[in-house]
Amino acid sequence: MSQDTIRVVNPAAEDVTEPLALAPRIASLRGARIALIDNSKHNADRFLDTLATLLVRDHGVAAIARYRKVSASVPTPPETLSRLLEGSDAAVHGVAD
Amino acid sequence: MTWGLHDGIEIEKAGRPAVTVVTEAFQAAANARATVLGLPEHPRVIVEHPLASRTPSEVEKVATAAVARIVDGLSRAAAPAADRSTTSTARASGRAQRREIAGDFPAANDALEAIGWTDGLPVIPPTEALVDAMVRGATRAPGEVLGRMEPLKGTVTVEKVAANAVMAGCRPEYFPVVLATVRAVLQPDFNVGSTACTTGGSAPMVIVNGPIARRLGISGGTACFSGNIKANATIGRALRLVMRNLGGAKPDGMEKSTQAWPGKIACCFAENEARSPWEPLHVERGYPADTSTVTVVAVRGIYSVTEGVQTTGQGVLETLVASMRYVGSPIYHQMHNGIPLIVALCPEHAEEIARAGFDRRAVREFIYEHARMPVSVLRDRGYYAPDAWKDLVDESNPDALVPIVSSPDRIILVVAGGDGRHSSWTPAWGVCRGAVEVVTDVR
Repeated sequence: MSQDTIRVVNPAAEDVTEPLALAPRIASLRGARIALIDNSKHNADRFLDTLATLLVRDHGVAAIARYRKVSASVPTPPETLSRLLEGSDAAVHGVAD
Repeated sequence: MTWGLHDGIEIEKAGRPAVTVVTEAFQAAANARATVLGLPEHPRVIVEHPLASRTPSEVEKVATAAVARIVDGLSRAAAPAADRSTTSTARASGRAQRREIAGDFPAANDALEAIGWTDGLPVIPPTEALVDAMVRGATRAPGEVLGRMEPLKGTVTVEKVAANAVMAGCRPEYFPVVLATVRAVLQPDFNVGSTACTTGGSAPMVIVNGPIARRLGISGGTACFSGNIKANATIGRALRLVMRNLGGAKPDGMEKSTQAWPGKIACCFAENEARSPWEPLHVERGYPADTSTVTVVAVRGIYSVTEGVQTTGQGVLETLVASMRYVGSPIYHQMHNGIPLIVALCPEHAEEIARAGFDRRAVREFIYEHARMPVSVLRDRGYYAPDAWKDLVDESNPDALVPIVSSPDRIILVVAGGDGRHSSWTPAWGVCRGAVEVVTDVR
C-alpha cells in the first residue's frame, strides 16, 4: 500500500564553513611570553599553575600572563583577548571539567 | 568547552599560535566545534576526565603529563586535517534542499530518524506542501534569515524553522509564536550555544503571555507543564527541534548534558492570566495588555513546592522561600551572572498571597530578601568559586547571606496551573539571562 516517495524539506543545517589557516607556530618557547586562559572550572587554576611553573622552569618561557573567565560558558571578551595577546607570543586555554 | 575552542581559534585568527586543553569526555564535541569554526587543525591537548574532582597532587600530575604536548602544539606545525571535504564556501541563505524519502508514514519516520533529524518521537514528515502552509501561517518570507544557531552555526531561515515546526506537529497558526521563540534564543544574552553544550542539562522554558495564548489554546491551566496540550507540546518541541537540527544540540553531536530534563523535548506554557490576581508578566514589564510575548529561559529543571496547610499568603511565601534554600542548585553560585529565577505560583497560592496584601513587586522583594543562604554553607560546594560574588556579598563573613538572584527584578513571576496548592520555582542555567520577544508576523 505504500506510495513511492515523498519530497521533504531539509530541516537541518546545510552550512559549510570557510576554512581558516593556523597561525604560524613559534620556533621555540625560550624567551616567549605565554598567555594562559583559565576557563574557571574547578581545578583549572591548579592545572595552569603547574603548567606555568614547568613552562618557565623547563622550557625557558620568559613571562606568563593569566586571565580567568567569569564562566566557562562565555567567550573571553574580545577586548580582553586582544589585550592579552598584545603582550603574548602564544596562548593556552584550559581546561574543561 | 564550546568557548574554549572558540577562544583558541580566535587567538589563531589573531595570528598567535594557541592550544586548547580539553578533557577526554569533551574530545568528540571539541572536534565537532573546531570543524564548525573552520579550523580542525587547531591543536587540542586531551587530558584525563574529570579534572574537577581530583586532588591537588593528581591535578599536578595530569598537568605535568600534558606539558610536552602543549609545547608541541605551540611550536610544531600540525599536518592539515585529512578531511576537508566538508569545508567550502558558506551556503548562507536561500531555500532549503529537498530530499526524497519513502512515502509510507512509518517508513518515512524511520528514514527521518536514520538521517538524524528527529528527537526520537514520531514526526510529521516535512513535505513541501506542509512546510509552505506553515510558512504561510506567518507573514515572513521563507528565505528570510533570522540568524545562526550556535553551536553548530546553522543558518536559521524561516523555511527551516517551518520544516521543524511541521515535524513537531504545529498548526500553521502557531508559527508566529514558534518564530518568536526562535528569535528569543538567538538573542546574545540567551547564550544558546552554551545551553546546548553544557553538562548542566539546561533546556528552554517558554512562557507565553497575551491574547495569542487563548486564541491558539496555549494552556496556562491544569497540567500546563505536561505534554498533554497540543499547542504547548508542539510549540515547545518545534523550538527544541530547531536547536537540535540547526544548532547541533544532539547527544551524538555537541549536546553534553550529564542528565538533562524532559524540557529537552518540550516545555511551553502560558501564564494563567484569567486566574491571576495581578497584572500579567508582560504588562508588568511595560508591554500593552493586547500585545503577546514569549519569555524564554534556559533552565535546569522544575522544583515543585507544595503548601496545603498554611492558610495565609505569608505562610505560603515562607514555605516557598524555605524550599529555595537549597544547596544543590548552582543558582546561588551563579547569581552574579544576573540570571533569572522563574517562580510559577498556582492560582490558589497567588490568590492567598494577593489577599495578604502582596502585589507582584512585593512578592519578588519577599523572595529576594528571604531566599538566601549563608556563605559558610555555600562555600566549597556546588559551583563555588572564590570571589565570584565580588561586590554583591562580603565573602569574608561566613554568616553573610547570599541571595538567590542578584536583584528582585531577576525574578520572573507568573501564575500558572489549575486547581490545587502546588507551585514551583525554576532556576535559570549558568549564564542564560533569558530573552523576551513580541509575537509578530501574525496573519
